[in-house]
Amino acid sequence: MADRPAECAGHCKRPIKVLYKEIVGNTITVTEMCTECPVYEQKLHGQIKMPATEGLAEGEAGLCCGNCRTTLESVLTGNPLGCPECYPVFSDVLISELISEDAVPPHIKKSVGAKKTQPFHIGKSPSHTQALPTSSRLTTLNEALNEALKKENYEQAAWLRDQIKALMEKGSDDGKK
Amino acid sequence: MTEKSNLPRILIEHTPWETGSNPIWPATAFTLHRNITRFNFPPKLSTGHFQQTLSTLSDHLLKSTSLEKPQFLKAENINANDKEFLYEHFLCIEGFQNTLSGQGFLIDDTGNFLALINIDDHLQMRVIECQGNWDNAWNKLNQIETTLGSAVEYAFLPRFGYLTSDPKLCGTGLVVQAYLHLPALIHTAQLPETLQKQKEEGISAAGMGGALDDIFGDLLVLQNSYTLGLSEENILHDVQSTAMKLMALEKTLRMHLKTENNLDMKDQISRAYGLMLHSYQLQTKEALSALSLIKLGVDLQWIEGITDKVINTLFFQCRRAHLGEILGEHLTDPHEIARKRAEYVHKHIQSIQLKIE
Repeated sequence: MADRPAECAGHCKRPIKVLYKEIVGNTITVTEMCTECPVYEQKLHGQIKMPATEGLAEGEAGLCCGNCRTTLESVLTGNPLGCPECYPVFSDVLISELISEDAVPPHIKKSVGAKKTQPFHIGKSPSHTQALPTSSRLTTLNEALNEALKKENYEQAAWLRDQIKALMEKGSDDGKK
Repeated sequence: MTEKSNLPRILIEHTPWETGSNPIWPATAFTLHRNITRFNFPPKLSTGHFQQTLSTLSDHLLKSTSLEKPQFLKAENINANDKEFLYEHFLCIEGFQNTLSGQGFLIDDTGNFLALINIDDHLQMRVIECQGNWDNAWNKLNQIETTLGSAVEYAFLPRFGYLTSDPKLCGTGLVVQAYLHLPALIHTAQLPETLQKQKEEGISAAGMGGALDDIFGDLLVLQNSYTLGLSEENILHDVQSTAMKLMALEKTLRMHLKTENNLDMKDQISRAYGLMLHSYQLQTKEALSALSLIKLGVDLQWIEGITDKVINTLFFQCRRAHLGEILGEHLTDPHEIARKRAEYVHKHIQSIQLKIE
C-alpha cells in the first residue's frame, strides 16, 4: 500500500510539491514543502507572506484564543484549531479561509457579510435524530434516469430502470415481511 | 512471528467485500467527526484530559446497544501491524501508525464499525457498508451518535454546526466516501473529463493513496467536498447521485468494450492474467491493478474459473498487514513481502482461465 502523501515541512498539511535544497559550505539542507507554505515564501523572498491578514483590522493580526492560546498565524498556516472557543474568536477569518480554499458551497459564499452571526450550518443539531428516508435511493435513481433520458442515453436509462425495478421489488418484499 | 494480534478473529477472517454483490460500487464509508465541548481538541489536549476523553467515550460506546459486542483497543496495546490492518480493513486514506497513549480504537463484531478516539478529533465514527444497504448503515451511525449525544455534550455552534479541529470538517462533520471500481473509465482515459463535471457539484475524487494521481486497483473514492452549509441528507444525496452516474457510465463503457471487442483492453487483461499467474514477486500496487483487470475480465466474460468473492477478498488479502496476519508472519523485507504476495495470489487464482481468442 502506498503511504499517504508526505506533508509539508511547514506543517500546513498540504502535499509536498517543492524540494528546496540549500548548500552552505559542506552542509546540504533539504526542505520539503508545498507551494503555498510560508516557509517556502520565506526561503524564496525572505519574508512570510500572509495574504489573508491583509484585509484584517489592526489588532486582529495578533488575535489569539484566550482558552487554548491558538494564534491567528497558526490558523492561517493551516494548523488545526485548538478548542471550541477558537470558532467564535476566529469566526470571520475561518469563513474567509474556507471560502478561499473552496471548502464551502456557493450559496455560503454569496451570503457572507449579510449578518455577522448568520448561521451557516443547516444540518442536524445535538439531540435531534434525522433518519434518512428510505425512499431517498429511489429518488436518486429516478433523477439519474430522467437525466439519462434527457441526454438520450438509452443504455444507461435501461440499466437505471432495472435498478429502480429491483429496488421497488426489494421494498415490497421487505414490506411483506 | 511477531507480537500476537489483539484484533478479534472475525475481523481477520472476514474481509468487508467478500459478500458484496455490486461489481462497480463495492463499498461506501460514512464518517462522523465529533468533539466534546468542555475539552480542547486533541492537538491542544493535556495528557490528563486525553485519558478522560478516552475513558468517557469508550465507556459510553461500549454500552451502545447499536453495536455488536464492541471491543475497545488502546493505541499503545496494539502493534504496528494491527494498526495497519485496521487502516486497510476500513479502507482508510490516512494511517494510524503515529497513534500513542491516550488514543484508541473501538470496533465491533460486525467488522464494519470503527471509532477513532482522540485522533484529530475526540471521536471519529466510521461505518463501512458493502451490501448496498446504504440507508441502514447511515441510520445505524446516526443512532450511535444520537445515543452518545445524550450522554456527552458535543461541541456545537449554530453558526458552524459541529465543531472540529479541522475547520474544513465543521458543520455536519459528515464525510461520505463512495468507493467505485472504474477500470473501463480509467483505462479508456475518460475519467478526467467526467470528474471535471462532478467537481462543480461539490464532489471530490481521489485514489486510495489520497490524491487523484494516486489511484490503484482502479478504485476511485468519491467524497463530499463540503460539510458546512449542507444537510446530512443533501450530502448523502449528492454523493449517491454522483456515484450512480459514474456507475451507469462505467456499465455502458463495459458493454461497449465487450461489443466492440476492444483489442487494447483484451491485451491489458491478458497481461494482468500473466502477471497474476507467473510473477515471482508482486508489489501491492501491481497486484491490485492486475486484480482489477481480472475482475473486469470476469465481468466481460473474458476470464472464467474465479468468483467475484475470491477477487474481492484478494483485494484486501494482498495488502501488507492482511498478508502478514494470514501468514502469521511479521513481514518487513520488501522482497520477501513481494514474493509471499505472489505465492499467495498464485495459490488462490490457480483455476482461472483466459477465454480471450
